[in-house]
Amino acid sequence: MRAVCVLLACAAPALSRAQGVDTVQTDTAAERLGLWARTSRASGLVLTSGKTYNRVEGLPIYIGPVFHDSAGAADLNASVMGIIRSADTFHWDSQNLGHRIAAEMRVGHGRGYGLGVSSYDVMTPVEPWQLPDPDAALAAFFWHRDFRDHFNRHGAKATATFNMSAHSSFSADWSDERWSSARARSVFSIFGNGKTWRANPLVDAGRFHLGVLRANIDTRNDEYNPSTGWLILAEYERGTGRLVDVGPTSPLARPTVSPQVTYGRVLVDLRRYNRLSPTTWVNARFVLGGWLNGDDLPLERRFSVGGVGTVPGLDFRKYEPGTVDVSQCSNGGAPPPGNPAQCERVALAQLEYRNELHSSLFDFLNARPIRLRGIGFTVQPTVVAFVDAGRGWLVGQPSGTLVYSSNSFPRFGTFRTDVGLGLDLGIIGVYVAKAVSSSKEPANVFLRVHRRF
Amino acid sequence: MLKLSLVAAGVFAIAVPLGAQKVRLDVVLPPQPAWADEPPTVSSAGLLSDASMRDLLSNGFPARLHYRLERWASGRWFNDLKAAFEWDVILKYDVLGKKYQVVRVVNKKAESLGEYPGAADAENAVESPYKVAISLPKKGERGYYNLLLDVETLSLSDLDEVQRWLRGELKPAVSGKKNPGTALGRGVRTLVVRLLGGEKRHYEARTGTFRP
Repeated sequence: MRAVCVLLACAAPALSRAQGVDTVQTDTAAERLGLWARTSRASGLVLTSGKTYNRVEGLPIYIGPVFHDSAGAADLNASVMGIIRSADTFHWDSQNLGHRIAAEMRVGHGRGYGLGVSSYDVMTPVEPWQLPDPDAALAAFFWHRDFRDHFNRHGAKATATFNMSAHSSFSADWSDERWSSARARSVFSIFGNGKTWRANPLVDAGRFHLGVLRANIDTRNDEYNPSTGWLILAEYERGTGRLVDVGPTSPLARPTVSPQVTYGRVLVDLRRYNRLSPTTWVNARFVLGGWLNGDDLPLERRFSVGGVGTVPGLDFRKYEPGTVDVSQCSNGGAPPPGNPAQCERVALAQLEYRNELHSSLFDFLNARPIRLRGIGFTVQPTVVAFVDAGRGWLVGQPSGTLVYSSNSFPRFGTFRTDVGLGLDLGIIGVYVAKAVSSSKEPANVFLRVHRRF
Repeated sequence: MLKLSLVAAGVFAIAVPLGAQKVRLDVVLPPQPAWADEPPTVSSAGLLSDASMRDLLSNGFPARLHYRLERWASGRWFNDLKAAFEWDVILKYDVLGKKYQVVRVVNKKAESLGEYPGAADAENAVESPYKVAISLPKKGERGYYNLLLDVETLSLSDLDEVQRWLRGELKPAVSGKKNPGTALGRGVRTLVVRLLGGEKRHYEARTGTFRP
């Protein structure tokens, strides 16, 4: 019964198009909670998924009425969605139930503005900027690997967006939320079903008021296969809150905890796509994020690097006893269960060189679109060579290679790095990455949906 | 020794039909003296000829071909995108009238390319050579044209938009994306295919580098 339900429900919005594109992962739930990415203009009852699959909720299924209309230049969207999660065989309990109610208005296509309000009780990943939803969902569904941590957000939000053009926007959010931990539950996976999931780390629980300013610039020529252009996301979040339950950390990660927290946090994700010739490209991505002012960041707002979304030559959340860990920012002792992200700042650079192979090599495949059990796609073989470097650190009294003052930056020699090679078939790519900074680390083979970034 | 750390993969049953017609997509430059005076021509073959596509068409699901022709200039280090031109061709089968309707949409304006009793004739109309009104390179500017084509069948929700187009209401809202509410019950196959973006067939073609 459970498997059948999962199969049926999975088919829904297909986790793919219903709520936006994964090319840019914002660091809040803003896009996830938005309705504008829906392309259907029909009102009615909708049964859909939450565009995710993970170890704390399995597949979240959204059901409820959706209303779309327009009045003059304004488009109106509203929805009242109840959420039932497939974890623990759809067991009817508070962790398996949620909701999302939203009303939004947008004026103008291209230049214009939008206003929205929403109420929600949803599970949210801690670091959505690392890995797009399809990659994370498929890894959990097929391979019993969940490359994200999750927590519950229950609250309400008001959003105002100003679209300067079709390529740029600026938005401001204000929300009142309760954050709480979520535990890993019994969630089905194709392979490895029944094994124990990696623990979902405990986070700081409490009530928070959040103000977020977000700027987005997208000059890429193609959303899915960009050859040129910029993609820039910059976000500042100021949060104030009162903790009622403090999540565990490594000793250096948070020496003291005050129940009253006020923090400022910034995240910049910058991507540049360059065409060198008709068949070659050089693309780069830089991510800088972390504490800016105020108290220590709550655990929901911390960072890490390592794993397929950032530095794939490094194992995801690997614990090496006695080693100062600049990936998760634990100081050598046993980390809290699940080895959570604990860094207050992070820097990541990814560089890749792409070279499209001569098509005749694969003409036997392209005689017609390859059949993927009845539905076709076309192979576009491109060789990808890449290098990645990244690390996280703590802010405070300087100590070794883990804690730096607020106005200093770790030297490059302390970064964790890798090199790799892959074959991107246009729809899926297979890659090999080898850590350079840890020479004894064996190479990792991994698959990615679409491009790495 | 390699460790396998698979992020995402399904169990794919991949097979290539024997005897299938090869898909061809071409961007053809005008004769050399006219490189700076005449636009290139886009033509194709075999895009809609496979059985599943024909089956969808004959059951009333329109096919949408979204073209984007780009003109690139070759630079010393990087190539620059100088111009781009986009258009759509929509092919729909009128079940009651038993005829295929072909519409080209350029700059939100729809132009009928005719109605045809047979799929082969309609496909010919879709794939017939088309001179693209893209801005032309200056004399001496070295560069090339690059064509991107996405072929997809439209969902039921998008049908409304197509109907409006065909009725002459020039709503530019055909997106080709799917209504999430209609997909329930398609199973894991659809899940995987959609996650991978496999509903949309993507093709590219380009000219060689030339200097007018």
